[in-house]
Amino acid sequence: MMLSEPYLDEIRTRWEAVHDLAIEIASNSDGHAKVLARHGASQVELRVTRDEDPASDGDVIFIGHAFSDIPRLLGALESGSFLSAEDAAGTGSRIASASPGPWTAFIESDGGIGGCDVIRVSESDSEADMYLWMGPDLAPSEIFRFVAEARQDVPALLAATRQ
Amino acid sequence: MFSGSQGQTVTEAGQGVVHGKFRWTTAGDIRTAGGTVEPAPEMNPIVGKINYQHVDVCLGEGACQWSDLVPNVAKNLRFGGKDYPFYEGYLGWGP
Repeated sequence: MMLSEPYLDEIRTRWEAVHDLAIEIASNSDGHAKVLARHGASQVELRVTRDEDPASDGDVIFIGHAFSDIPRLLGALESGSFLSAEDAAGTGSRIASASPGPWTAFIESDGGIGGCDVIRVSESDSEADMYLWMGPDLAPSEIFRFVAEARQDVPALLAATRQ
Repeated sequence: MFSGSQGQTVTEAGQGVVHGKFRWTTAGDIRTAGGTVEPAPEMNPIVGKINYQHVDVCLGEGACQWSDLVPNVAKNLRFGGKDYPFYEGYLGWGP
């Protein structure tokens, strides 16, 4: 699949808005995955919830790795290099384990949503909304936007690197 | 200031947000506590339509009683859904 240059620019813009965050994936005491975000000297958990409940490990791991998958896949595309089979398989496995897309970010500052930033994971009423938290506060809007679009961007970039 | 939705009932107010759960209070409670609620219809670029239920809320100094989280109506009935009833206006707000 060929990706258009405007679409790639959109992905780069979303990535540049969050690239100052250093992301690490760790485990909670109960063995579930968690995402740690470091900005400058401070590190906080980037907590992922579906309404009030913790998100699945599949979603948490996909989101945590998106912060390294996106720049790696962009780099591979730009340089014309191939991903290793192991890299591609790992990325593919994380895509398969995440909740099905598309994910849609509704951002309060974009206007008209009547509430805070939120990611709609599905049009099905049985699928709870996704929220991203840093400490007690919602994560910045650029993280909501990056994460929601990553659900579309990572598979698209992976497919493009296989051309 | 933050975004909210107005409605003549809790269910109707919920239709003006895209979220699956929300907290509610009354405009009267907000104003009694020194805050303001101002209708502010806004375009949403994802939905591609104006939300005429959208309001800007400023909380005052006083305490304001908010509900626990309550479930919203089905997605098709909310702003952005195909059966949302207020795309053409709400309570005199609109074309």
